[in-house]
Amino acid sequence: MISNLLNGFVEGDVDLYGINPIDPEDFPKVPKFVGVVLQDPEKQLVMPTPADEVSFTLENLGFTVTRESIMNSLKNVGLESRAYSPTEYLSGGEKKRLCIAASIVHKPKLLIFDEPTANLDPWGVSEVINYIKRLKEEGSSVIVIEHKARHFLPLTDKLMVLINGEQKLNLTKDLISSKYEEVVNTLNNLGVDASKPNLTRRNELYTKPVVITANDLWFRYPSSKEYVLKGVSLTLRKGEVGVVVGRNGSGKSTLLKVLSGLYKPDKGSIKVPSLNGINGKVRKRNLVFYVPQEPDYMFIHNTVLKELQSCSNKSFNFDEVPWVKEVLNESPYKLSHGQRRWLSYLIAKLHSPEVVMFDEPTAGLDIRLLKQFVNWVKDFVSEGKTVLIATHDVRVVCDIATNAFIMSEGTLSQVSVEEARDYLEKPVEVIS
Amino acid sequence: MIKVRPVTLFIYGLTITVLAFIARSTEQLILLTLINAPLGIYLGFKRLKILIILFLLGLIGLFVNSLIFANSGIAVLDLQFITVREGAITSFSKVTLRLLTILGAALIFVTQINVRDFIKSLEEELRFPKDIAYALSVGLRMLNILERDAKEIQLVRVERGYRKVPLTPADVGSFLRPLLSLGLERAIWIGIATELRGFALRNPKRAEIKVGVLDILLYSLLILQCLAILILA
Amino acid sequence: MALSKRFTALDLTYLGVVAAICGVIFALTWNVYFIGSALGGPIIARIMSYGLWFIGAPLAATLIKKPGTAFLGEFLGAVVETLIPTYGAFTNIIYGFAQGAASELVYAMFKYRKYGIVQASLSGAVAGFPCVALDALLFGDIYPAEVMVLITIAAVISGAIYGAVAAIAVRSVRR
Ligand SMILES: Nc1ncnc2c1ncn2[C@@H]1O[C@H](COP(=O)(O)OP(=O)(O)OP(=O)(O)O)[C@@H](O)[C@H]1O
Ligand SMILES: [Mg+2]
Repeated sequence: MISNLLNGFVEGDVDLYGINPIDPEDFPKVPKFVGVVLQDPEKQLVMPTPADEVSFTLENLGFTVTRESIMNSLKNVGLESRAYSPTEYLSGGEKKRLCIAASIVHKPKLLIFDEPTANLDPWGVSEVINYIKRLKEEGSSVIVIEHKARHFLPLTDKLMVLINGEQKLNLTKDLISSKYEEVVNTLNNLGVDASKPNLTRRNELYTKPVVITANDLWFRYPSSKEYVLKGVSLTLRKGEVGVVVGRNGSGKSTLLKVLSGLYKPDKGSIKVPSLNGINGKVRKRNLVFYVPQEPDYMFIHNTVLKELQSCSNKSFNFDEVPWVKEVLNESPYKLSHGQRRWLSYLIAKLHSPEVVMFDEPTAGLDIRLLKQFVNWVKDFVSEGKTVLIATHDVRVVCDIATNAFIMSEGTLSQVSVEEARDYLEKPVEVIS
Repeated sequence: MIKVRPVTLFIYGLTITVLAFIARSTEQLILLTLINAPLGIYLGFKRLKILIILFLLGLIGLFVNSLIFANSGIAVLDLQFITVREGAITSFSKVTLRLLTILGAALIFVTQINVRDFIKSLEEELRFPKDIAYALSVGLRMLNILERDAKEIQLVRVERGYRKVPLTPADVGSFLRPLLSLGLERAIWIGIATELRGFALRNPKRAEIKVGVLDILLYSLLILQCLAILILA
Repeated sequence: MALSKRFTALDLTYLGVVAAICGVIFALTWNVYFIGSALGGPIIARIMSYGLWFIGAPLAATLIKKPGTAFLGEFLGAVVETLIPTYGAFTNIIYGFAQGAASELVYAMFKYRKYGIVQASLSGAVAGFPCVALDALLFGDIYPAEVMVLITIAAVISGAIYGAVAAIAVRSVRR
């Protein structure tokens, strides 16, 4: 469909309500029949407020725009009270709903969702699934493209698995409902995330030495009055993998940045016993290293080689990651997404920290890259290091967590890994 | 509340700035400054304190420059280590007045305008092509996201032991690359999404330019200033 | 509309992104300018910072490779900067217009066939002339003619450097 825009080349025929989207003449008519919701709202929303966003679609397609039609469409997704407040102040879930509203306001017959659950907290995910259910009941056709097929199986009429551009599996509703278990197994074998995550038990580490403790941390951004962290305390021991879960905007990322010494807490202390130090020193020695969600933020130099050399003067062991040898003189930005992620882990590791903090490291990753990440963390902690991960991903919690925390409105509570899993699963389970 | 239309504000701000560039005599500049600076600073003091403070700090630098480059004529003030002469004072005050006018006009514009209405009126009233209005709204939307990116990049730079503010070409390159990489990645999807929302079919709505009382007031003020500059020239 | 025939939504989005990047860079450049002024006076400050203010044109042109993009990249960047607002206020729009037009000329001279590092560097360099001319109107009372000449040279050098930096950056991120 995009061949008309990206100078790609498509062969074959598509019949979409009587027009052929591959034909340059017909292509501009596609939006009349089709609404598309892309993965990342930041890559779709272009207007300053929700009301403008919705009316942009309507104006494009030549509808007369009234206040009423805008409000109705926003009401559908529960955003009518935010109609005129700036888009950038919406939460992740709200932005997603706005994308949906803006894509369906002209009542298209076909809707396409590209990974509708990425980056969303479980409540957001459940909202989206409910919404798709409603659209289906109202008679629209919906195509969902997803890594996490599990949430959508009960709604599916037709299921298709694509691997490297080849159609590997094509199932219909009857088959899915009659042989549910079998289907799930086949899907899992094909690398699709279809089954409920299983918890793998891990050794308790209560006897290991403490690596970092934070006591009664308070923090607010200079630009706002509200505290984001309101008295957070936590302890991590050597070899632990801690996960922090919580709703969008609850302060997870902020906590990681404060713990890595990148932001100074307004009150409270962070202690790293191996250093016997306080905030400032944590930073100086890079004992705690923060890895942001986008690997691109991490790169400074224009070749992979310089990037690695700049981190440490130890010679680099290429056996660990053979592909790095092939791309030493490439710009880091030309690597594939998986490779960029990996390079960002390498950079973190080469700074030889005791603790690495990952902010949503698995958002939008397929199962192969997820496995890569899980293995990396397992290796890393087996060397006696410690990891803290902020995430919405129940797979991460089940596969590697030894400790879990729930962040809620600026306070942190330690819970069991089971509780953290249930916390993430409950909102979604209710529907399916 | 009555509001001045964005187009009016835009024309006013731009014209005053042009006048400040053109005006050569001290009288002209004093007139422009007296009208625009107090109004602007009054309107903008709350929200844009930092900008105003920066401006005042910048003046110190300017004064030093005028001491170095334009210190000629009769001695006005004799500090032991340096003599301040007339040339320095007059050139410094002229430049200051000019900058004050520009600052005032900008503060009036920025405090009174609603960015959303501004872009809308570009397309509807000033009849800019839909392309420009669209590119600008993307730009402003992306600005917020890129500011967040820039903060994050600065954090990592600090973490990895590099300068926070890019001072050398190498710094700038390493700052630009992630901004571009992320920006372009987003742009591709935004472009696709926009096309899929029927941008090609868009026929921009055109509206008549409406004027209210405040607009007429501001336009008259503008015309008066233009005339005054001509007379004083 | 003549414009829409030439630009796709994708091109326009790229332009928007360049404008936003310019907004961020231009805003940061004020810090560079002030740091430069404090450390080395007006000429050093201009070498360090002016090229950054011309970066919109080489960025947009190297990226989109179509007539008009150099001008629009610089000009829209300046409009965004005005709306932020930064220290330069409305002068930004005037400077942006003149610098963008000058940079566009370079690409026009190559008949819109070449969008390499050399062109980017040149387009940055020529933006120095209108910029200093406008500076002369603003600050002419302070700086005598010979200093203005030095300032021009500084601006042109800085423009050439950062034009190249912009083009190289674009090349190293394009996948
Ligand atoms: N730079 C900033 N300036 C001001 N406020 C901020 C800034 N960054 C975050 N906030 C606010 O702080 C709160 C916590 O944000 P944070 O990013 O830590 O949440 P989060 O739990 O990581 O959310 P998500 O799951 O969406 O990533 C939010 O209300 C957010 O709006
Ligand atoms: Mg976060």
